[in-house]
Amino acid sequence: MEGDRAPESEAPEPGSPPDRIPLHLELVDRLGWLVRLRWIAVFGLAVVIVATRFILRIPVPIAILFAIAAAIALYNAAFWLAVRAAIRAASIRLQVAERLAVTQIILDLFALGLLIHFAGGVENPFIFYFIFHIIIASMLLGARAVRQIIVFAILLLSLIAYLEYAGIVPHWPLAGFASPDLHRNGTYVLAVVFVFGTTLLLAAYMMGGIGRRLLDRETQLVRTREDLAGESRRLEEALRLIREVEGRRSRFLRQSAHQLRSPLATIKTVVRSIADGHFGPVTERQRWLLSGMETRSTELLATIQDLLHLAHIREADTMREWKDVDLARLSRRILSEETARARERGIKLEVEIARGDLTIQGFEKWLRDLLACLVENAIRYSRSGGAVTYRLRREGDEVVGEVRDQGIGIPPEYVDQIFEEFVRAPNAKKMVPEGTGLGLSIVKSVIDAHRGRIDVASRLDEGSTFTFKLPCRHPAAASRRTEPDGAPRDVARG
Amino acid sequence: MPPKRILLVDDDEFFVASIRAILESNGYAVDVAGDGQEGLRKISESPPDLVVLDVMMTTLSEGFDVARKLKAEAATRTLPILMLTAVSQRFNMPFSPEEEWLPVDRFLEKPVEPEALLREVGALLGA
Repeated sequence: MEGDRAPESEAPEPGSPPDRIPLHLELVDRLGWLVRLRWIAVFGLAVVIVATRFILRIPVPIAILFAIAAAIALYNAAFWLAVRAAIRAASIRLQVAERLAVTQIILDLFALGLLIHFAGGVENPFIFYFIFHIIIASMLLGARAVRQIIVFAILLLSLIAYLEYAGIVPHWPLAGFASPDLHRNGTYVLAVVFVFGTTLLLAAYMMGGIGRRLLDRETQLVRTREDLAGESRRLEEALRLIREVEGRRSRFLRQSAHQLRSPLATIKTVVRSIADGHFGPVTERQRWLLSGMETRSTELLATIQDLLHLAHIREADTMREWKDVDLARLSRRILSEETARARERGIKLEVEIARGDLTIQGFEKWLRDLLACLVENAIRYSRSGGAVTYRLRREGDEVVGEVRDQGIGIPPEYVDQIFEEFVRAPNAKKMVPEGTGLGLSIVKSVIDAHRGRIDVASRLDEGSTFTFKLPCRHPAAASRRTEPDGAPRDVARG
Repeated sequence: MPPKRILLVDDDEFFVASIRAILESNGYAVDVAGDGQEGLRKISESPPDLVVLDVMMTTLSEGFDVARKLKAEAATRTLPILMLTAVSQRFNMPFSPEEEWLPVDRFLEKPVEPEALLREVGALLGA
C-alpha cells in the first residue's frame, strides 16, 4: 500500500494539490507527532486494561493484552528511532516518509484488531477507535491511500467478526458486559460491520475535504515560508553588499577629506601668519586679500570637517560600544551654552523638559552635535524678538524632542531635501551666507545611527518645527562600556 | 636669559615657516626637523626645552611613534611635547585623549591660531 504521491509519469489525482505532502520533512515532523501520540495511547491502553479487569471486573486476558501493548511500544520505539534519524539528517525521500506513515498506520490497525479480538470482538465498543487511524491517515496521506487503509480496516474487522462467528478462532467475551453469544448473532454482526464500514467511509470523506484544505493551506504556508527564507537570505546578502559599499564609500570619503584638510590647515596658518605681520609689514589691501583667503579656507575646512564627521557617523554600525546618555542633562547643558547666543540676537529660548527617565543608549558626542545643531539653527534662522522652544519628553520606549522656531521657515520645495548633503534653501543662504549645508545631514545621520526618526514641519516666514524620536534602547547595544572615539566637531553648520 | 629652545618637527616646510615666524617673533629660538628620525637625532644631540610635533609626516602616525619613543626614554621622559594634528584628536585616531598612556602633553589642532599656539607653548614652558 503506497502513499498517494503519483509517479512522475502520472498526473496527480484530480482535486488534489500538486504536491500533496507539503514537505517530506513536514511529514516526518507529523510522524514524530504520531509516535509521541502512540506513547500516550500505550499508556492509555494499559490503564484501560487494568481498569477493565480490576475495576469493571471483566475477565479479559491481561497477559495477551499487555503483550500486544508491549509490541506496540516496541514498534513505536523503532519508529521513534527512524523519525529521529530522519529529522537529524534533515533529508529523507518523500516516498520513504510516506511508507513510514503507511507502515505505522497499518501496524496500528493490526494491533487494534488484535486487541479487539482478545477483548470481546464485535462486542467491544472500542472498535470505533479505528476512526482515529482513518483521521490520522487523512491528515498524512492522499485520498487513494486513505481509501486503501479504510478497505483494510473494514476487511480486518470483518475477518475477525467472521472468524469468531464461524468458530474458526475462539471468541474472547467481555463477560458481564455484553451477551456472551452476540458474536454468533449474524444480524448483529452484519449490522456492526455495516455501521463500522460506513462510519469509516463517511469520516474519511469528511476528513478528506477538511484535511485537503488544511493540507493545501499548509502547503502554501510551507512554500511561503521557504520563499520568505530565500528572500530573507537574498536581502541579507544585499544588505551586506550595501554596507560593504557604504563602508568603502565612507572610508574613501574620510581619507579624501583627511588628505584635503591637512594642506588647507597649512594654508590657513600661513595666511594668518602673513596677515599678522610675522613675515614683515603688509599693506591694507594685502591684509584684505589675505583675510578673504582665510575666510575661504575656513569655509572649506568646515565643509571637510563636516564631511569627515558625516562619514564617521555613517559607519556607526561598525561601532560596538554604546552607553546610556541622559538627554535631559545633555539638553540642559547645550541650552545653557546657547542662552547667551540667543540673548545676543534678542531671541527668547523656552525650555520644556519633562521629568522622569529620558535616557537613551548612544554616543553622547554625536547626540550633543545633533541637539546643538537643531538649537543653533533655530536661533540662527530666527529674527530678533522671536522665540525658540525646546521640548523633550518620554513616549513609551522613545524619547521625543522638538525644536520649534518662529524664523524664516523652509520653502516648501526644499522641505523634502532639507536633510540631504549641501542643501541650503535660498532664504537661509541670504540670511546666513556662510554654511556648509551639511549640518542637517549630520543630524539625520546621527538619528539614523541611533535608529530614530526625524521630521520637519515648516511654513515660510513663520518658522519650522523639527521633531525627533530616539529609541531608549539601541538594537545593537551590547554593553555599557565607554564610547569609542567619536567625531564631535563643536558645531554643525546648518 | 637665553631664549627657550623649541624643536619643531614637521615635514610641511610652509607650515614650518609660518610657525617658526610666530614663535621667533615672540622670543623663542626655533630649530626644525623634517621628519621623526631627524627629530630624534637632534633631540639626542641637543635636547630642546619643548618639542612641537606634527602627527602625520611620512606615515600616518609618525608623530605618535616619536612621542612614544621620547616618553619611553629616561633622558627625554620629562621633555614637554605639543602635538599638532590636522584632524580632531578624537576623530578616527588610534587613541583617546582620556587614555593615560597618551604620549604627549598637549594637543593643538591645525589650522593653528597664533594666539592658541603661543598660549600652549607658554603653558608647557611654564612662562
